[in-house]
Amino acid sequence: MKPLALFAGWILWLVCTVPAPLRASVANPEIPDSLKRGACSVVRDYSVEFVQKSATGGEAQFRKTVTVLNAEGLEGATFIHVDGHFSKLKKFKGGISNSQGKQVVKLRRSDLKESTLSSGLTSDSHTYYYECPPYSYPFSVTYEWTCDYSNGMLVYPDFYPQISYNQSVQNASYRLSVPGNVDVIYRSNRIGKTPEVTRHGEYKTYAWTGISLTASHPAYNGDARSVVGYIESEPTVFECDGYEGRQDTWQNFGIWKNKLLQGRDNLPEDEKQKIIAMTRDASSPVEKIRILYDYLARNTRYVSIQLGIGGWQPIDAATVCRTKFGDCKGLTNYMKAMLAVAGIPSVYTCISVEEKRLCPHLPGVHQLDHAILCVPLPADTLWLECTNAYLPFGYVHSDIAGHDAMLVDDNGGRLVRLPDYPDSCHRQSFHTRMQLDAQGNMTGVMTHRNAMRYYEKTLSLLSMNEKQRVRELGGMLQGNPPRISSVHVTERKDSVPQLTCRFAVMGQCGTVNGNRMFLTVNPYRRRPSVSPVASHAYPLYLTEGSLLTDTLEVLLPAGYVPERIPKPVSLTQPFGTFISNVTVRDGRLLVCQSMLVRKGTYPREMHALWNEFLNQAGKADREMIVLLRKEGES
Amino acid sequence: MKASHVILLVYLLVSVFGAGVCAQTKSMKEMKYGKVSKKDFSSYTPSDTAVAAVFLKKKGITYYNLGMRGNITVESEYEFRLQVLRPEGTEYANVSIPFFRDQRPGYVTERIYGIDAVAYNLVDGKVEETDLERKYIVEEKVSDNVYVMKFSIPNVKPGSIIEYKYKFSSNNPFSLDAWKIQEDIPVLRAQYDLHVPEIFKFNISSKGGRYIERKHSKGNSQMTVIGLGGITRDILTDCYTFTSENVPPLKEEPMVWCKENYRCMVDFEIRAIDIPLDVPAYFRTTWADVCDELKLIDNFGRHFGMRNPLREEQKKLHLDPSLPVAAKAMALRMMLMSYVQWDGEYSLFSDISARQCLEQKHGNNAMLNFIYLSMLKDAGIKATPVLIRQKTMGDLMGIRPSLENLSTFVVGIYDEKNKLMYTDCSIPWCSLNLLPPQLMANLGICFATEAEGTSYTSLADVGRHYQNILVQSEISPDGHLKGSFHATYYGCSAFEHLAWKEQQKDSLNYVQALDRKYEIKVNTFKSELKDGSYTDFMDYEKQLTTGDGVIYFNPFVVDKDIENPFFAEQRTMPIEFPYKYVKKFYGVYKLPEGYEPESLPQPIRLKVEKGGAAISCIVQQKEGSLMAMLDLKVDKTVFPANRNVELRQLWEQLINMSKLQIVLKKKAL
Repeated sequence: MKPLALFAGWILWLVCTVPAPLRASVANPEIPDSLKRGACSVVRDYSVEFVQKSATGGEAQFRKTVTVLNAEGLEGATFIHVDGHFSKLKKFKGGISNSQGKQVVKLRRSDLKESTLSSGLTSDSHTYYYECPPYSYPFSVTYEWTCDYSNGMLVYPDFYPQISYNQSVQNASYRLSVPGNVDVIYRSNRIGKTPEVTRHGEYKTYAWTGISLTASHPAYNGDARSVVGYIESEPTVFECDGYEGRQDTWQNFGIWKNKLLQGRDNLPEDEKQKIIAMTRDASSPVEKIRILYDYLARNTRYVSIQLGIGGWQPIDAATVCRTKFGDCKGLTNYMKAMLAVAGIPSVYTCISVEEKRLCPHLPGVHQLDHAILCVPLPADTLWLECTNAYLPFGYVHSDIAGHDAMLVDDNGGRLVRLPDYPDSCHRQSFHTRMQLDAQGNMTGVMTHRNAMRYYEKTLSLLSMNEKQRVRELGGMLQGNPPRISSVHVTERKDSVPQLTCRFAVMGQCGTVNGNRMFLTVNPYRRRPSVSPVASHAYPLYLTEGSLLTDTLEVLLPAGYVPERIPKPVSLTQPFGTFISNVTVRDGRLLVCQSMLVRKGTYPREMHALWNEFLNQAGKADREMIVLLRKEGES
Repeated sequence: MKASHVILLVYLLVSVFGAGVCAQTKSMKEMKYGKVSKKDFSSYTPSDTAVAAVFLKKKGITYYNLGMRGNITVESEYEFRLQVLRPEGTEYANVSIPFFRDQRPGYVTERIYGIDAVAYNLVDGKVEETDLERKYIVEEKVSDNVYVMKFSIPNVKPGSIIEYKYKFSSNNPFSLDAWKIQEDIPVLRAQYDLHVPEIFKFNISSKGGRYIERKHSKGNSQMTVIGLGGITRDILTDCYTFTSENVPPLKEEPMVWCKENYRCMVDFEIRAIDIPLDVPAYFRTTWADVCDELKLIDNFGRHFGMRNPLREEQKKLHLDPSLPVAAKAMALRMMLMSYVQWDGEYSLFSDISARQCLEQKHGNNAMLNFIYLSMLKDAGIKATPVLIRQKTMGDLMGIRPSLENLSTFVVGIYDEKNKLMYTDCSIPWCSLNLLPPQLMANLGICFATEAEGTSYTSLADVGRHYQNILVQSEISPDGHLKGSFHATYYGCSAFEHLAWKEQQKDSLNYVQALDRKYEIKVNTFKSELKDGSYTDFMDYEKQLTTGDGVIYFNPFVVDKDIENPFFAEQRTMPIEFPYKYVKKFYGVYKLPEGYEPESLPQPIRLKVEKGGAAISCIVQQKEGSLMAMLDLKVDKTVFPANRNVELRQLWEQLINMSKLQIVLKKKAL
């Protein structure tokens, strides 16, 4: 018997002779109570071990065991692996064990489902997944897989031991073995550890070990990623599809990105002549840019094609010119090429629509998911969204306003911050002018204005017919919306865009009982929802600032006088203000309300104040106005 | 689906190769593929400026082809012409065609080929053509055996006309894709030609309530049958042409279970193979045949009629045989629930055995229902699977028995009077005649037995669903309202309420949510779940608004966020309620000493003209108390689209009445 077989035999003997209860606990040792709290599944063991074998490739071994505590935790046991041009799933195996630790299902690679479906026209991504079926809870599932990396090492395999807030992690480790001349840069969330760095010959190993994470709660308005633990890492020097680069600084990463742009801005001669002809009579550079931006809007559309390095390199301008479609990179590069023909320099800009702030010490693709165009002008800088050129010229839309971005030119990358708008610019208002009869019926006109972010949210009204608009506007109003007709929509399409809807309204507004009529101060306004208690463990994230203003002018029926008018309400908090005023003068009732919300991150203690603020505002909306019919009036 | 054996049968009988195609009608010829003129760009002026794009032409032809090796394939050719009218209409230049491919020999496989597409633009008065490049045609795998062919047509902008065509081939001669006429943009003209050798008999049905012109003729198939003794008989082809014009878009509307029920389309289902000189072979012509086929399918058949896996445990229950059927059935459901839970999936089949299910303590509704049926049988209770199609998947058609159209089954239990009671083991409650709304289908098929055959039943009206709020309170002279609040939810109303309760995460949040919902302050709270009902018992208080010697008082402590779902002025599709229900509020208030209501509203009763929904509101004074009653009754689940305005008015009244204010005034001395 060989020594290894002897050892295996000893293990077998040990397992067979250990008493049953102990065997169960060996197979499925106790999960500490602290890790069960709020958890629907527990990652018992998760390890990622990556060895970089060359400048462009390596191999990673993954192992994950998840104990599913209840039905809600089942999602936490799903296996998903996405590979493509730069990585390939090499091996896979796994198994499902019951609560006694006995393996009841053996998993092979053939058990994985596959899909190459992409949201755009095509990509080279290949998704493997396994949806773990429910078993008698608790049960455990183990996955072991190996992945080959080739064609480029722009990033290392990410380390996401936790996939949702209701999953805890008992023990996880992340090891990266890289050539001695490569430094690893990384960022992490909730990990709270720095790696131990050791050298073994020509290799350096970065190791994060003994990672344990408790389950958490969903954050109010916060992004889902902020509540889970993760590490994202990448080499400072890399090669990707033949393009070498450095990403130790944003400047160096920009140099690499700039290489990908080289030679991709040539346009056919007839297109150049067309551009020159189109812009020849323009009175200013801004006018030229506007003409070409309109041309882009009228002639192109977004189609996503992400193949190989095409995930980072734009399709060349001549191809976009021919097909009249491209993704954000392709359309931005095409616009840049057109501007160059018109003699206007512009800068290709990488940005993230998800992450407002770019981590300064982790340059690279981890944080960038979109491209726009920066056009520096003497008076101001224009930021052009080429993926949706129907957006107003000069308007920085809400997915990028105030976000950090990387400008890419011959000098490399440079971080800048896009302009943001004051909270009060994101304004939504309802102005209602109505006449009330003695039965509480009203007829009137409502004017609904939506500026900036609200303009974006209501933009679809422009392309709707009357029937669709009535449905859409009715849905924006709370409770018992009035009957809406004759909707007229106008758009102010400039750098401070606004969409205005004017429509006729009629319906019952007041309830009548005896000599009195009862009205509600602001029956139609929808307010933000309160933050659930579970989210109070985190700071109060108010990601969107806004100004909501409502005015209601009511011509009262003859003979009615106010019996009860709500007192003015004025609330002031660090995160916002609310004012409500009701007055009656010369037979006219006037309601004026405004709520300003200041975006920001506030201490978690402010959740209660925020909820109280919203409750008070809601109460002011529902306050009662009582009108009394004077004696002798019919 | 395995097609090989049937293909072989046809191969032996058919001797002449080739498939004939009937002469095409001329009406679509004016829009010949590849011929777009300058005039075509202005041929369509939309009456609705919101239309993003329009199908100027949808054309399809399907015919049968006999290959050199005797294999029959179904070949289809499709041609489309669209005009893009608005920027968002350019998305119609991105085309996705799903298809099925099982590469195992003898299994169904489909193929998309012959793709061609062109964009036409009017440039300086001339028609400019841009062809689709092959590199922009891609195939992607969606999941096992399901693929999609995608392409993006270049140079498409508002005003462009686009044309594309492709061919579709299937080795399954018994299945024809439905001809879907209606899209979410208008279709000006659609024509579909179908040429089926007369040996294949299909049920053909039109859906969507719009006129579809249908023509039928006979053509030559160029196929011949050789019978015994060398007798030959030509096989003719049934030629159908379906034509539609000016088909409006089908848009999403709220309160519709499945939009597909209303899509204008032609559907085909194989009925029989009728080979001349031979006996016709019928395909599932009756529901009894479907049931027989189900018995032969392993994942149904081996579970149906299985031995009760909980027989030993059931014996220990010592079920009193004299108990009513309902009581026994409930006791067995209770017992089953203690062993196994629903895993969230509805199905007609179960891949796992009853033993595995009990071991895992989970199973889909089919498996749980199979076990329950076996338990009922052991207890001597007559029960049957009731086959249905979930409402979210579209209606089941009684006249078209088809296994493909079934999605799951519930359990029908016969009571002492042979009347059916229903349950589904996905429901975590022991209550008969309680089904999840999506299983409350208009049509259920009681599984065939040799003695009784199949019968139809409707599950749409199963059970009673109501909400009762009972408030007993006292108002003090300073306008302080204090009392008890009991809210009882029954049937699906209880499900909905419990789902809402679950969203509140814990009881503290729940109580706070109740405070907000009813605008009260809950002081004590307890709840009870029993006999298919859920009740909240609360003591509450509220400070009423007071004025100069008056108290303003809303007697209806109901949900303050109640919304009117019928705010749209018009709709196209019928209005579908999930189930019939009743909501009742009854409040009794002891008035403060010396106070009386200044005036009370007249009783109100309002109903939809042809019935189906009604509200009533009564407020009365009786000695020193005030009684208030507000009812909403919905006793029809489907209303025609033109009832929208009446329903809207009904809800307007309901919301207005729920805000009613009574003025309590001190009596004059």
